[in-house]
Amino acid sequence: MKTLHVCAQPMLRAFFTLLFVASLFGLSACNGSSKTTFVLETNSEFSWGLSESTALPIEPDSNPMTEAKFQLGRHLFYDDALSGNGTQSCNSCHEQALGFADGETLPVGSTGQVLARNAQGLLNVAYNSTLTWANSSLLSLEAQIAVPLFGEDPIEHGINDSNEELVLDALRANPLYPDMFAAAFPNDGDPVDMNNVIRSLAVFVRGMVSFETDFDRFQSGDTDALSASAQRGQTLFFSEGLECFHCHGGYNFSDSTADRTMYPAFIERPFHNTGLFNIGGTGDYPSDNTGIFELTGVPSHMGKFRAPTLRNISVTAPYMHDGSMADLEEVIDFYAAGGRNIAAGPNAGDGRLNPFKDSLVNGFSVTPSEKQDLIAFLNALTDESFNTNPRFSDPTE
Amino acid sequence: MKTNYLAMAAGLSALLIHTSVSAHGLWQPTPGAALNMEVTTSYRNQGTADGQLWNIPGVLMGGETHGTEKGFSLDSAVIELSYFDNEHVYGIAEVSVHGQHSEVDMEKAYLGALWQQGATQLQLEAGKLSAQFSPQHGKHTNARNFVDQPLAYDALYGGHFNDIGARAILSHAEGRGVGIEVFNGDSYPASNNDNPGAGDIFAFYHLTFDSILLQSRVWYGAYKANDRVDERLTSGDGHSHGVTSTDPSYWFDGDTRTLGLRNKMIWLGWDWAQVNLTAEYMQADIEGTVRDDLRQAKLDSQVDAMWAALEIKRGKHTLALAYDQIQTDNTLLGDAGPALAELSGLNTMSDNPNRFRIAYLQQWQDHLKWSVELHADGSTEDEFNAVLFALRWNGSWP
Repeated sequence: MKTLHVCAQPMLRAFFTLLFVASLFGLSACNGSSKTTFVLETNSEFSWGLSESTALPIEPDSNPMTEAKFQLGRHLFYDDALSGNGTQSCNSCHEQALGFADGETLPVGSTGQVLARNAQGLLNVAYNSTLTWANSSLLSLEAQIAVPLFGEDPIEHGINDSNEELVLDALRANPLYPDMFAAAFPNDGDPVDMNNVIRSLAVFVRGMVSFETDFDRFQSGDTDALSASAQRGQTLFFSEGLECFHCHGGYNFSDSTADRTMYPAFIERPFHNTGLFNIGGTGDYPSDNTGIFELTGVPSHMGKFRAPTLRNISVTAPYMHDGSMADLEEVIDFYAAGGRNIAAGPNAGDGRLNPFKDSLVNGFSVTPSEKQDLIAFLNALTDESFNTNPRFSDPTE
Repeated sequence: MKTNYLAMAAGLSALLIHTSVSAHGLWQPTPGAALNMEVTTSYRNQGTADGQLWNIPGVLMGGETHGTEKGFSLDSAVIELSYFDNEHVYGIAEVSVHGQHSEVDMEKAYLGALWQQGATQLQLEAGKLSAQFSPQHGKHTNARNFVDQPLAYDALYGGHFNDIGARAILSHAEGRGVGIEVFNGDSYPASNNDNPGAGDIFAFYHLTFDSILLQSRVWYGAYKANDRVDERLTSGDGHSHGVTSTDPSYWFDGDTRTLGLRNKMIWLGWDWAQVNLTAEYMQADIEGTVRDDLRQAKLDSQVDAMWAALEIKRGKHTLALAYDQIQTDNTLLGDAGPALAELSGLNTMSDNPNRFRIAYLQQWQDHLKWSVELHADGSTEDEFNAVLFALRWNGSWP
């Protein structure tokens, strides 16, 4: 480097001298404290009962969560008056002690019609990115709840145009409801209507959230929360050999999960064919239960159903969308075999060879003790506090 | 830039302007081919990345900022080949190994041309360049008093900024000059740009006040990031320091704009020693989106980074002290903010990340230098003190 010695221009001299001084003062610019501030887009007035680190469910702008709606929805959930013939409530197929499943292979509607699909538990339904077993268009509880209330095939609650007013009159006649509806919907002139019934039920079901299992306690640092067997089962569950976690992963143990932190365009709504059937070797499922094929008509959608959460799995037997498996041992054997082979009868066919089967259902090998470890882990997903929480119980008892 | 500081600076600057100021500088390379080699190796008893990925809390890190680990390390091995013809043209290529990684990087490979007209010089360079907005970028470990870069460079430039691009520098013999650099934009804090996605402009000036030589520099840089990942997690080159994930975890899309001031004051007033004081202050404004597979949040961040170093040199002996500090002010907009801050390291800690270092260096032989450093490292929550011994060798041909 060669340097020269000459006079400098006064303007430049002033400018760079200023820079020198500025840099010295710049050093003191770091005297404050670092901070990270969060500006949340949605704030809920509702008390979810969840830890601060838990992402909250999506709350629709059209039906914000309030305690008044939650309590009204809770009463309606347990009320037989909310059916066409006054014999059936939501609770008829969703019992709290069973994680809000019903323990039956298939539920029965208010008119005696047997439904095609098993009644699912309702823990953390608010986190499902789609609702029911196989409907890619049901994205909100408000839309879903109308199905059991007004559905004609199958008939569940059996409410229709001819009896809707009678049902509402029955609600108006209950001395509790007028005030509860008014409190829940203070801006409505006559708040006792079906829209508000649906909104209240949706708020109640959306509020049925909990993460209080032994698994959650273990994750939070309580190393005694999981037995040694359950810890071994956890390792198996999250192994690439068994593949369980691919469809039943994430904090809600389902790949069909959404919460308010997620960018809407990124939310996934997958459905899976697990190889339960392969009628005639063409990949068919029973005609009354073909998964999302029923809606889309796309051949490759045959037999595809949503992977439900495994939380509370130990109390929500029987299993699968048709309730065809009685216990968890049978379910593990089914996945270990890579599908189900039905040797005879109208549904005969080797589900293991179903052309639409999910590529992750390949079968695996586990020893009897490993199977017990897996079951121990699945049992650790039971949320007893949810199943006994008075906040979700029948308010009339 | 914080206007209150500038205002104070403007007020005080008048006091410092001296009527008999003079200045320096034009680059005059030696014609012919030359080979320069440098090696620095060290041992330290504790590092910032012992068994973990180093992340300065509150900063979206990336690039080649790998932190340090306990034990022996080849901090830098550099081979630089240069050629300058007798007229205007020159070429420089440099390969190096930096830090505790094993791969050899082509740090520089560029052609340049130099024209001089009177007291004015124009320098044009194109190829793979090391940014020159601050001389700190071009400095290898061997040329620094401290083995590790200032935290500011780790936080804002991924250690150092190298990319394919072009630059022009116009200098005057009085010691002032301006430069502009334009880069592809494939290096942190930029990434994945189809068109030039990074660039900077800078200006410098040298002054002499009797026995004080003052070297001042200011720069402004802009960098665009598309789908930027933390390459330390995904590069697969063994940089992840015990973190086995090859999942990028999160992405950043957005703009980073930096403003920097650098001043070096050389005091020749003592017969028995030379005293140098160097200070840099940088401010980065970062705006964009942080996202993972499912979530995204808008990020508006300001990072103020400073470092200052005092150096006292007498003969073969050098004593140096340095202090670094970083202050971040992040705002994340969106419900995913808390989760993404946790994932990407944007959560701050109670104290500003900082580091204080003392070094003693001795030129042991003509080409061999040894040093010892004491560190009080508060760049993460796990503050620690460390000792470092280093050996530096350099050789050249002809």
